[in-house]
Amino acid sequence: MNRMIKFDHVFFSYDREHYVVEDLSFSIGKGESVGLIGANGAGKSTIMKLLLGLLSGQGEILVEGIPVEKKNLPQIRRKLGFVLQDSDNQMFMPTVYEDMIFGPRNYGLSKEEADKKVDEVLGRLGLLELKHRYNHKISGGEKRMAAIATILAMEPDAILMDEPSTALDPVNRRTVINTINSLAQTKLIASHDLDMILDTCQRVILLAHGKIVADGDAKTILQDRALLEANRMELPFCLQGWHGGK
Amino acid sequence: MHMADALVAPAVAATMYVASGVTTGISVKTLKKDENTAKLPTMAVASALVFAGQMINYTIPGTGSSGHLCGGMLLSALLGPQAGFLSMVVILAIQSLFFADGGLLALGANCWNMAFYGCFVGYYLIWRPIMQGKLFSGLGTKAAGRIRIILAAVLGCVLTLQLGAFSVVLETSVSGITELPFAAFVGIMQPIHLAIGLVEGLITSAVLLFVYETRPELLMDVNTDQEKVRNKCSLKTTLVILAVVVAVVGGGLSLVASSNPDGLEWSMFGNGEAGYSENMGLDEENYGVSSSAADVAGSIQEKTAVLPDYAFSESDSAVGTSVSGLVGSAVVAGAAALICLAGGFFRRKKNTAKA
Amino acid sequence: MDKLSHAQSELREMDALAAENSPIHRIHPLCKLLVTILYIVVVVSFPKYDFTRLIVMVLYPVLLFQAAGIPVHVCFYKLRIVLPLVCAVGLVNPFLDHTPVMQLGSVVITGGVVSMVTLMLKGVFSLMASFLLIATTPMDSLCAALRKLHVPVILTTLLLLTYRYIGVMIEELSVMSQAYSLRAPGQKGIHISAWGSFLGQMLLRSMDRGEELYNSMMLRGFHGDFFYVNVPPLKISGIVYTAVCTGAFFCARYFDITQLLGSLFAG
Repeated sequence: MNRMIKFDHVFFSYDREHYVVEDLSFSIGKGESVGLIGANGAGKSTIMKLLLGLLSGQGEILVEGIPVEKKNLPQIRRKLGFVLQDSDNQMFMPTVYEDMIFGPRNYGLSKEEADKKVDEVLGRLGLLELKHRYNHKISGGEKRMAAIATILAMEPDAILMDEPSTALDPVNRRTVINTINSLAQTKLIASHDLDMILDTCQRVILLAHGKIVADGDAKTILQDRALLEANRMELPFCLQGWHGGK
Repeated sequence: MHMADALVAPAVAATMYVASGVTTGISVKTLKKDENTAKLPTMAVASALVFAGQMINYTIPGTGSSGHLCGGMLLSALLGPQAGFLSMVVILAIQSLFFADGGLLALGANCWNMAFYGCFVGYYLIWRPIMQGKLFSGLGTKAAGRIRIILAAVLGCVLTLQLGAFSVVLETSVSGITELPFAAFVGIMQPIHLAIGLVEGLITSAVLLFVYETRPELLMDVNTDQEKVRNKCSLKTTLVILAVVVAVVGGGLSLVASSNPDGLEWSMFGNGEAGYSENMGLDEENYGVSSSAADVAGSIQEKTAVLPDYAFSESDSAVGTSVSGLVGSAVVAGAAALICLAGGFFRRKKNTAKA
Repeated sequence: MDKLSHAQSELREMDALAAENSPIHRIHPLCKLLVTILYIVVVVSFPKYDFTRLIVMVLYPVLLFQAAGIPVHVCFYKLRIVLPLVCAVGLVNPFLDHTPVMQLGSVVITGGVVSMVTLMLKGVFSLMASFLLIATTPMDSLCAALRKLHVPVILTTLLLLTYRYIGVMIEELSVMSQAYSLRAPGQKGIHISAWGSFLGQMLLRSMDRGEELYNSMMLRGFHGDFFYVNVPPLKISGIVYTAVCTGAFFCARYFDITQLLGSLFAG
């Protein structure tokens, strides 16, 4: 099977007393979009950080067959793009353009190649007018899109997203969803926005206390009211049966 | 306490740049040795916060007045003296460039007056000895820690502000900027900064206490065993910095002083009692600034100066000189006004052309 | 508390000015930096009674304001910070220094008055010069220029990152202080009971933010230096600009241009 990401009996704890991630095993194929859901503290962010090598635990994690270990980190991080929840933490350069070439230049692209990449990505996302804007002067929605663009400019094989739809107005949220859907890469999206997960992912992994509770087809899991509510979640709004409207 | 460009003579500014530059260089080297690039983003965010935090007024109950945060002590307690110093340098640079607080030329002096004392002196002389000492250990670990933090922050702020204020006076005096006698200047600056230091110390200790209660591992020297490893050679570093800098500053300032008779007279005779103000210039011979450097400088000054420095003779030619000087100034002002008008004219033209 | 939003808008204003395009904006940042420093050094080096010669130096900022199309009032607004200090030091001079240095008819002008005016002019001139530097040069270009002068990379990186996060921090703090003042009407600042937790909370958050920021840089392959891109190439014009300015400053310093002009007009 063409595996992008594989977790094999992974454990992690901060304090050696209770596990934040406990005996976790799953794998994600190339081109899959997977939603990672669960209550606060279920271990969503930890999984992302383990995958990126920002934290290290026990067990084996593979990215395209390469184990996530210190010596492989540059190679692994080249393959993975991580969109942070707070775009301000992601966009640390003065302008959008400088931020976008930061990754590609660090990975050895020449200025011309990086420039071409930036224009191509911004053009594809319809964001060309943001190119020379200052990061601290663009709106929240623009910032989120720009953060996604900085990651796409690195041409990762897989994209990890932490709450990509929070604090966005409906139009901006929809733009982000459409952008996510337009991406061919493997996607792993952690979120509480189940409607967005339903719109963007075919598969869902439901976590509770660092363990997988359910893993399968997104529509099946997200329609299972009993399962969701047992794990401190509720049905996506679009499936709740709205009685107030028409 | 930010000095403006106009308050320092170029030679004083250069001396202070060298002093702060040496400290910066050593700090950078120490940080590099520790492989501390991981600290860089935290330093940046923390200094951005201190920058913003200094704009908030903390009201002092019962007085109606307010105080501000003392950046140097706070940053070096959180990041260590080297990282704290660099963060302060950056803060001061941004303040001078974007907010006209301080100045480009006076930056070296400002870094010294505020960052060096606050970070290095405050840390090695006050913070570390108190935090690692056994003071109040009879009260239990937590309570002793609290009292030590308050004591260290208040003492540190008071001491470093006193040193800073004294340096401001010294630098301004040696630059020969003000006619205010040295003693009087010191007499004004020190008590004011004593009060400011006390308040800043209290505010800073409040913030540090909060960190101590919630995340004590963030503070330097609170956990002694782990600190020993981290700071084993830094006392030596500080001593080296101090020695080098004292040499540079001492040499530089004495050079400045001897080549600037104005400043020397100023600080030497600042305490002089009667007749100081009236006769300072005229009595120059009696007081006798007789170093050869001063003579050379004096002759250069005489050649280059329009008006002889002190002895203004009331001959017609001299009066004529000053009048033509004033006419010339008016011409310059007129030219400046013309440039402005022309600029405005061209811009309007361009705008209408665009429209 | 208004200070925070003021600072925010000042920063934005400066950014907007620096992002404009003019012949001055296009000059290499290193040339502008050197000329600015030289200008300030020359201005400050004038002897304290040389107010008439100092006045020639006004032409540089005036020309630059016009050539760069920067509104002067933005700069004068900033004077409010510099002038009080300079004035406080300068204002005592007339009372202490009675040396006569000038005579207009029967009015004798004392050294104290002249040195006070000179000091204030020095303050205003040097402020205008550094204002013009920053109003025509974006921060990253300035950092690139500093790198060219071999300023350590740790310092330039720190400068750039701090500058970037000042905006974020000011915004977060002003939200917090608004929230505070909404629940504490009539208070002018932060009360003693909240001193520690107010900034302490922010401090802890910012430490976490620093860590996340570091992660985000590492994930994108950061290893030490940034790539500065907004740097215009060093062209002949930059060298000419530096040379002309340097020459002009030295002329103004060593020849009495005001005097020459004056005798030309007054005979």
